[in-house]
Amino acid sequence: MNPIEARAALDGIDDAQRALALKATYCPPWRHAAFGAIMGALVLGPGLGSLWQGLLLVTAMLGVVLLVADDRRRYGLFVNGYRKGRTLPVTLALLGTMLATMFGEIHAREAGLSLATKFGIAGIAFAVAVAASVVWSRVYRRELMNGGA
Amino acid sequence: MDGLDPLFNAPARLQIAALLAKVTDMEFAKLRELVGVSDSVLSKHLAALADAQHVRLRKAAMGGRQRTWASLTRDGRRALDAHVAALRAIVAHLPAAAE
Repeated sequence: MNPIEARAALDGIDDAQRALALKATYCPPWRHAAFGAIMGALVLGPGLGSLWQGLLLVTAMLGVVLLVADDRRRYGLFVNGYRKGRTLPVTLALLGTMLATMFGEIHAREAGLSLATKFGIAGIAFAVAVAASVVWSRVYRRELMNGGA
Repeated sequence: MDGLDPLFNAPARLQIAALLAKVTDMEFAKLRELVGVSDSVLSKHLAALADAQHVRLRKAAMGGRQRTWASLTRDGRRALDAHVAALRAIVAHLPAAAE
């Protein structure tokens, strides 16, 4: 293979990935909000005791299943959030924040803090998760658009 | 050239692998749309990639119809990365004006 053929092959990869970015990466606001709600429910659970924690966990898992199914139906593809690449720092930062807020909920329960405090912590988790979802989508799209193959 | 995989010499096959490298899995119709080939051509490329264990194919019902989903295997990802690295090494010899 000569250098010009190799360049053409690399350009073909970039073109295909740009097409993916343009045709299949739009994420509607409700999708970000739904993800945030799932994360908020997961965080809220430990603050409310085992019965509510179990209910919220099942609800969140059901939400994940529905979101994945909707992604597959709407886009014809699925992208795991824990993928390697430029989105990984966003995912890890979100994971760290979710764990911190979960510990906050556990502390709130053990310290007997008010329900408002617990919902406040879950609200922070919701807001961070929505923001992380928006940023993640942008970083993923930029990764596809920039190519670099 | 070390790292070049003859399976990826077909441009469409290389594009299929490069697209699958960016997703967990992708449905047949979406791949066909993005690569811009016919059903039969895509089927042949996917079969060749699956035979080489580069791609995993599975059938799943969606909207009452059976659909084919493709994903890149670990071996496929390794082969693609090596192939792209080899292409980059070849391109490094390309004069700037030709790029």
